[in-house]
Amino acid sequence: MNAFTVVSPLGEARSEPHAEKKHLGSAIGRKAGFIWNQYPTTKDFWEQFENAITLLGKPPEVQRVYKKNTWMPLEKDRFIELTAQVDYLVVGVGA
Amino acid sequence: MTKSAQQFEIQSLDHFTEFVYEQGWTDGLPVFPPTREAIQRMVDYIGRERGEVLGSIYPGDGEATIENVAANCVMAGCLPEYLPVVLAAIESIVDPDLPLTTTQSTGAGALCTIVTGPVVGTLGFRTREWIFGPNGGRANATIGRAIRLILWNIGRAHPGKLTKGTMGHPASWSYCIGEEQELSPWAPMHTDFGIDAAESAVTVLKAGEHSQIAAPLNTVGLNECINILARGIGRPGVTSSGGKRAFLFVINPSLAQAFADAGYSREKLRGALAERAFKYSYDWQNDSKQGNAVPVADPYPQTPSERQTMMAPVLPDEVLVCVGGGVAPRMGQCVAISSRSSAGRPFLTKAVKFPQ
Repeated sequence: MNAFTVVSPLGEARSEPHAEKKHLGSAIGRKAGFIWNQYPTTKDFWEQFENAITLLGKPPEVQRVYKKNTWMPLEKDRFIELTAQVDYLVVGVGA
Repeated sequence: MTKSAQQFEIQSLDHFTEFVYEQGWTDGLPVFPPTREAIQRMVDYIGRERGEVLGSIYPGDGEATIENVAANCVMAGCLPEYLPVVLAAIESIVDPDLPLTTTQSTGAGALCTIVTGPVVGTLGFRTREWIFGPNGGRANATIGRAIRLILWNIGRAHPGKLTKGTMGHPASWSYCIGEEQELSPWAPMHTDFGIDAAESAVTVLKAGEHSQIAAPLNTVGLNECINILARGIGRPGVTSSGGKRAFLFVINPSLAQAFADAGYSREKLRGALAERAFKYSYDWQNDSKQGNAVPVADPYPQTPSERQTMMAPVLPDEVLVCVGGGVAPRMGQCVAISSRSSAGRPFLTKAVKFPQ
């Protein structure tokens, strides 16, 4: 068989533009946000985890988004809205 | 939006074989060269732009295009006429309603593709003896194989990297069947999902356990056969998590005819199977997911679990019935496939769109 040309079967990974990085410095006294997927086995942990973070960080404001499923990312618009309201986000997802 | 893929000059077929493994273009089995000419034949057949983006495939979010889907079809050994069937499967695979997360998490499910309607005969699917293969059927083997390669090459579903399944699934190499229509007493399975009987369709099911169940019609009778089939699904561990479930029963033509002769439509049979079946789950993750689950006695009292066991009814719309397999008069045979899905829909059905 003579030389031949093959075409790559690979899919190019879809990529989203990255936002500009911002350095928080200290988390103390900063507005906090929590995204949690409500996975049943993390229920007790997450409550205590949030309490510990708010106790240590003393955030003046706290935003919470508890997702109703464990498999789809938070809607992009809601995520952008949330990031505008807080200084940092703690994300608890996965299964 | 169009994209064009990278191309490589290959010196010989021997070189190609080594090249494929070096590039990681295969899951382990040898493949055919995705030459420009072979891909062009596929593209010409369907008459669509080769750069057309079809969506992104989990877990690597690789963009599926007509061109790279066709390349994987060529590598699998598909004929151009198979491409519309593969594209119907892709339509489900990129659909957010069928998140593939659960097939690639620790449970490691497989995607089972069920082709229904006139296209089954047109493409020469082997729908009788050894329907699940190997049976020498090119359509069965290569369409299933193409879907696997698409997940591998476009979705980058590489174990240990983006895919964390612990065990894998032996059917993942190629898991595609065509529904037997000539000997079926019922309309194609896709009519249950609003698609006309005259059309062809592809159902993609997130599959876990694949059980062979013998239903000895000649000795126990039809009524007991329903019990046998219904109790063949839903054991603890097999259906360990909650959410929307599905159970596919592929029953051989002899058993399907016996049901039809006794007055069972497929809808009535789905209802009967659901009524007599249960799905069990330990309570470790079912809290809010199991709906009407109720505690039951431990089914294994000799080795009691520390966990509570829950039992939930199976709903008729969680049961799919398809006809296929060899004829065995007075002997019912069935394969029951339990979906391995704790997220989203466990299956989707899409009509096949043929070139105009």
